[in-house]
Amino acid sequence: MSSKKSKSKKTISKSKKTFISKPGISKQVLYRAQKMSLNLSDEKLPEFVHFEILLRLNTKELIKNCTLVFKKWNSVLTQPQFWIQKCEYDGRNEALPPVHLRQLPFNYKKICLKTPFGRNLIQAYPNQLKNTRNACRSDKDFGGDPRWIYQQKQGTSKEITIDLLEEGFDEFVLDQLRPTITISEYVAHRADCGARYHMEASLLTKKKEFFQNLPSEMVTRFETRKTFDQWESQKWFKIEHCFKKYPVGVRYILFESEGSDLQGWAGHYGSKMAKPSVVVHYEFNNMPDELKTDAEKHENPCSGIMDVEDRDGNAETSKNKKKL
Amino acid sequence: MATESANGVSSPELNERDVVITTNDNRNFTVKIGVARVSKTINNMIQDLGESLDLSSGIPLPNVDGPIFEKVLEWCEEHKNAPEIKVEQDPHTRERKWFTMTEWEEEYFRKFLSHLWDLAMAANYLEIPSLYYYTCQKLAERIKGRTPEQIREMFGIEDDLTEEEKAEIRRTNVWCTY
Repeated sequence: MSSKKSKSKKTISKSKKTFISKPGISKQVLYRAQKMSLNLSDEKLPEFVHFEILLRLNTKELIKNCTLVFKKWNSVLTQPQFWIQKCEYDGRNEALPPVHLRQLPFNYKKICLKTPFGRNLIQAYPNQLKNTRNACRSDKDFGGDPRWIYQQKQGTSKEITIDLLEEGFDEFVLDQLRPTITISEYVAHRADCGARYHMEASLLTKKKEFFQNLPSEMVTRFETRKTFDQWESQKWFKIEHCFKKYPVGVRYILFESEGSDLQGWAGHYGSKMAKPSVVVHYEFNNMPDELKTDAEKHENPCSGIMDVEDRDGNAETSKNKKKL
Repeated sequence: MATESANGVSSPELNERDVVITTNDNRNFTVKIGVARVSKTINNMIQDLGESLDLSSGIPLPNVDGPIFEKVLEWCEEHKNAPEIKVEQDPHTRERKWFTMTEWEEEYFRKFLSHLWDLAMAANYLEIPSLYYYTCQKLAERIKGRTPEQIREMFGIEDDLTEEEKAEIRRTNVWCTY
């Protein structure tokens, strides 16, 4: 509404100028001079009228049908400004980059349709899972949200592969800007049975291969292990890692976790996993300095295991590694 | 004819008085001020001109022609006492809500279906938010679910894209599959 208002004001001031500040010119002359043809394909038809109409249509329809109607609409629908407004119109501002980054050549059409940034790319879970063995879903834990619960049986594993291009990222974004990629998962165990958990996340090449021979500061792989003792009080832990420094050519993310119980009991007694998440942020690690904000200039490493209930951290990665 | 001061503009008495509005094809419309003021552009002119406004020689509208202004006036007559429209958002999705139209409004748009573009343009120039937003919505409704060919036919748009250009557009949007 606010953008509309500013446009309205412009119109008012124009009309004032025309009719009030030039009293010397006869009306006759005025309206002859300003006569405007009301034709849809007229170049003079203000763009915002086209915006106002097209914003009401759904994104897919705009891209598939409206771009092909005539040149004018195709040009409206290739403007970043249109798609930025479309996201705002749909109430999805969080899909958009922060204002100071909007000058970067993003494909806003894609951003609007696929929302690659700021969204959990594991959305179709658990359908996205592959190679899942011996797992069962539990609806009881974690605030009763059944979508995210996965209870592990003996020797259970799961694997999720995310195709970054398919999710809506352009090669330019992945290779030139290199956004921060955060992976996380919650894990717990049954209080009556000890359990073991192992998680690995890797950034893969376009051939779905691991990166080889990288300089030491480049990280494309994260691995963590955790052990829960029997009768240890049951808690959910959040495991999280941010990939920041990674090489050109990342196209897939492979997210694997596996677990088992330590008692060797029959049934689903192993570690539980919930809310796996892969989020790519509007935070770029290979950006020209002049576009960085002060906050982004500070290194902010984030990796490790957080205790969800109390964040004092009773279970550090190292401690658990010794136990294994 | 006597002129009115800007202070008296909001008086109900003035709303009953006539003003002459001249469109760009030199047609004169004698309109009740209360009706003409549905257009913010006209209302602003009336207020700004204040004392100097000569009601009988009227207000020129260089961007609107007679046939369209006639249709706009019909809307203004119906909406002279209507409250300003509100753009609402869905509280959950934060998506903008579509307006609900009255039977009269639906009928109005049915009647002037072939003039929707002109109405949108005129409503924008005359600053009649209700007519502007509703017309845009109506246009969007008509476009929804139609193929490019149907859209062109409906609005009489000339197909100015070559087959090569269309193929190129399709190619650049090929990722739009789900």
